[in-house]
Amino acid sequence: MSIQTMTTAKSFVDLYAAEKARLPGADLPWLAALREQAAARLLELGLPTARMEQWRYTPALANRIGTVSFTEGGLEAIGGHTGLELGDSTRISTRIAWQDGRIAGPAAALPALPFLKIRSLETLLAEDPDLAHPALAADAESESAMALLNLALLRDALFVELGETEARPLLWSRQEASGGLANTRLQMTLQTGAAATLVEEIDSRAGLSNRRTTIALADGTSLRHVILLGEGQDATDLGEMQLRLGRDARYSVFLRYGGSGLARQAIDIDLTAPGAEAQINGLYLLGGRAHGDLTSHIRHQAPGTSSTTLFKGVLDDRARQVFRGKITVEAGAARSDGRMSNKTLLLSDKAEIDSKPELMIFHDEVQCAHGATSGKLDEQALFYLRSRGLPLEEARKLLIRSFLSEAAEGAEALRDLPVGDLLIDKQLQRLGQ
Amino acid sequence: MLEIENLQVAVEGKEILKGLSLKLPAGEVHAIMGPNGSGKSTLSYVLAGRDGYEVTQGRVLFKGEDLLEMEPEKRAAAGVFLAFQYPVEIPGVANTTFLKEAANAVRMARGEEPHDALRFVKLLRAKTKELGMSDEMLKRPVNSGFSGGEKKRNEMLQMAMLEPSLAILDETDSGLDIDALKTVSDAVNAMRAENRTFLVITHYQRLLNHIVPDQIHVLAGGRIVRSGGQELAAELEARGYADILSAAA
Repeated sequence: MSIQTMTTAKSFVDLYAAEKARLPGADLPWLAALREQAAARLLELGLPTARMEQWRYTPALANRIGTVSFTEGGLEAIGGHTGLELGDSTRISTRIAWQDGRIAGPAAALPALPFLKIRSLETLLAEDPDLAHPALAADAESESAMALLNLALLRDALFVELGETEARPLLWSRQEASGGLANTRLQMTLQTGAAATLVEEIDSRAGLSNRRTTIALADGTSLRHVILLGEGQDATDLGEMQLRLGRDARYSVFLRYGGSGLARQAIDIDLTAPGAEAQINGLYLLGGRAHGDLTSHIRHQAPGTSSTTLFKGVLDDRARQVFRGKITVEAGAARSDGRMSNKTLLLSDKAEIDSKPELMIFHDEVQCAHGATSGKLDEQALFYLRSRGLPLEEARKLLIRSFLSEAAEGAEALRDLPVGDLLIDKQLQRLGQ
Repeated sequence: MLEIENLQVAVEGKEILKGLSLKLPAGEVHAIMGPNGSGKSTLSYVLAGRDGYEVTQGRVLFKGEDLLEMEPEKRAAAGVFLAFQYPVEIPGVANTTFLKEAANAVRMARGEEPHDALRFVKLLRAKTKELGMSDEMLKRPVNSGFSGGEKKRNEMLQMAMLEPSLAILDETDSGLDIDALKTVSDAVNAMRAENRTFLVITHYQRLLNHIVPDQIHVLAGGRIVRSGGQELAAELEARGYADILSAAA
């Protein structure tokens, strides 16, 4: 126990040294070697700090993470609400529950459908190690400390392969963490013609959650992705996501931040072939000393690719949100269209938004735009509503809701999902509205 | 209905209304005309309760109560309605939702039952039709992308739904074409009643051809400098404000 001292990369490497013989695939020389390599590189690189450009506006993890350990047992569902009301649960093709970094329930319970193959880390390592190898080997070379940490101490992972289907299956994954270190990994492949909706609910109450996601979308595929951080989110939750989109592939993601801890999501999207399209939409409603961070990088690598990013939120008290959105249009990516917008309502003088949209354009004839605004509630609009009889608090809520609505209404990822009001009401009450 | 006595109002330290007095009996329509910068909009905002207007002297009684003490929403509940010169756009809130929330907030504050959904829709449709508005404008966000004329019609729709006892129209005629002017005037005339008072603020006499007021007041330099009947509007139209102002000075 070293609560007073700062957590460093060494704390994790020590845990790795103690646990490595018990980690899945410990008997596979290639995997053991990759983990060893990752641990060594992590020690070299250190945990992310504000000195790294990608982490510049997010507080050092060293002071936030307490004891570094795995949480064992205690697999009691937290059951916190994330605001998703899926209603008719028969629409869900597959449910996966994670607890403290491991898939709950026996691995055999994961369903096998003709068009959908879902395997845990241990199953995949036993049945098809070649499928696991490339991605894990890539992580061992990663410049991201969190990717290295994830690989070194990975205890479970979910590998999803999706083939062509007529109906769009709905995959629902819920991750809960009650403390310690929860590394998770999701690797998803959509084969030509596949379409799916993936809903992730994340509710981490303590410790460090380190989520790693890689998704490959083959030609003509479509993935709608919803990531909801629960209202009880009070831990440090870090997600890193990498996507590759083929020809005419469509990816849309909707993120919702709430809670009171630190939450960071990095999204890297490569639009590798003509017609590939990505949409990032998100909402944040933060109060207290909550800290949110969305760091995205979309690379337009082929002609006729398009992307839009719309990230809106409300900050109260001393909450802080970081938005770093980067769009790169590579040489040859003619007729690319990249748009990015970040808008924030500041309800308190001490709340802070750090917005840094960036465009890097290496080709003419492209359309790119970015914008960032922040401000207070419009006094004129507030007066207008009050003059129509709405009490002050109602008027404020209505304006906040109206401000936020754009991000949820335009979100392709939410289409056909009974998402309710995404906890906006409840969050507004928490913000002391 | 409304009694304004020696009202003096400053905005950011600058005196705008300099001792304005006015009595509006129930059931009457009064018009205020005046040159730019005379304090017409200030008067309407002060009556509706907007922040940033400092009342340095005088008082305003509405149905015998001190209006200036009330929050804007209390004034609305008590029966004050201001049709804005520049209605505010509120993206993301459907017009119907807004109208319903407003109407029910006011009804509840008045101790009346909120509208049930069916009755509300029926009433709303009827009023919408009277104002020459399309149902589509009810679905759109409040005033968002509305033309100037559509915004003003929407103000009249809100007035009809809120059933005020004092309606202040702040240059509702500006930006209206002749047809829209007629529609809006018809809406006002249809609402004229014994227990309802209108204060019509305008630059132009033409509105007063459609909404014939009981009295016309000329506001200049923060005071009412003259009051009279319909003949006053004609005089202003023919000779402008200059004569009246120099006579009053």
